[in-house]
Amino acid sequence: MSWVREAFAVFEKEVRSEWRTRVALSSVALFAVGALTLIGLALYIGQGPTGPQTAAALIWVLLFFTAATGLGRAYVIEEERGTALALRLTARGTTVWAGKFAANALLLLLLALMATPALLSLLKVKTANPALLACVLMLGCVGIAAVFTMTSALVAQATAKGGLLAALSFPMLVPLLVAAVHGTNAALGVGNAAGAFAAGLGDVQVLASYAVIAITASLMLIDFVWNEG
Amino acid sequence: MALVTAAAFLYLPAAQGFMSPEMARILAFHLPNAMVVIIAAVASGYYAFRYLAKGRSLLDDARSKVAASLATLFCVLTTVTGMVFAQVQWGAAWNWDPKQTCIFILLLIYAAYFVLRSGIEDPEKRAAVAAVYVLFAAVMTPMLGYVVPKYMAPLSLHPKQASLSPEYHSVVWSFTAGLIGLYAWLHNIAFRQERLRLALLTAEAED
Repeated sequence: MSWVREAFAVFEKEVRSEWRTRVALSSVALFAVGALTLIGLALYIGQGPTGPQTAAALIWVLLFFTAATGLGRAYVIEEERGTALALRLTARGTTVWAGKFAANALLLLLLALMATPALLSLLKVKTANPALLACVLMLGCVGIAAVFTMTSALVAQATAKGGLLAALSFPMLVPLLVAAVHGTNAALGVGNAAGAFAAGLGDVQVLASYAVIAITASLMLIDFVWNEG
Repeated sequence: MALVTAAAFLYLPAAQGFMSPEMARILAFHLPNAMVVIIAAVASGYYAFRYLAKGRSLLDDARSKVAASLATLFCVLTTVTGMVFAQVQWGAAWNWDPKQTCIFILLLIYAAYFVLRSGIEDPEKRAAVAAVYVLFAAVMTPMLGYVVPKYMAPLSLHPKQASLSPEYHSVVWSFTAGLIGLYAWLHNIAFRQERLRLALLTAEAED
């Protein structure tokens, strides 16, 4: 099988087995709803005015922690079910990574698609440039999914899985989160009242290069972990 | 080492051009520590690479781990001396200066590295996973060098060109040489301890 078809087969398998139970999907959705409720309540009690800067920061904190709850399962679940060996026999490490990464990215994009408008309307923040916001969210989600898929493969080999995933991923995601928050600010009109796309172009470039680097590094390193299990 | 430490207090003149010229002597400790962090981090990455690429020798894994633990130690020392100096020089111990941010994230990475190691029992699996994490971090973190100055503080509070008297140059560089020596010595001791532990484990396994 060609590399692309093999990766696509893994992706299809991921989506199908997820759709059967919908564990990751529902846990991510419930986590996001809980977090949004908490944010709404906390800001309602505080009664302070919340600006677009608060919204931009909260979007990425929400996405990071929701990703930490949902995306870590990618490799862990194979070890738990005992299906890792079968997968190892039928597919290459890089295609397994690519398929799982695509499924994770899809899940995170779906989440961003639902949570971001909800959060923005909750905080009554207007979007100055929706196209820029979409670009930043998409590239940011792809980068987060790449890093979490990689660290998930590392964590799957360890005993304490829960907290470890966020601890391993956070230091590496700092460049992405900084650029993403900056880009989201630009899209929400902070220092960019006209909503020009150019104001966030640098951030989009940083996010895109981050995603490319994360994907390349993962594809180069994944075989060393995958063949270890 | 003792000579240079004494020299830092007795021989160094108070550096002019700083908020507190007397306190600036801490530079003689701060700068060399930061240089040793870089050396230790590179060593840890190099041995991780060698473990994966050449022969999968657990000794290389032990070298990588020892270098990482020493990098953590010198990272803490650099951060603490830096914070003391920042409190005096810039008015606050923490300013989110680019270099402060980077060294803090380096600390977080090493902390996560050791948690990851302690979570895996099988030595060979642990070695491979830890090596992959070190290399992945080594690829992803250089972006900080571009991103952090771009967004957080366009102008670093750290001086680019410090005008220090020649006494500083000699003391800082001799202290750096001394600290590198200390690092090599600690690395050697800790590595031999790890090697003995490995030998003990294999001997037990054979019994």
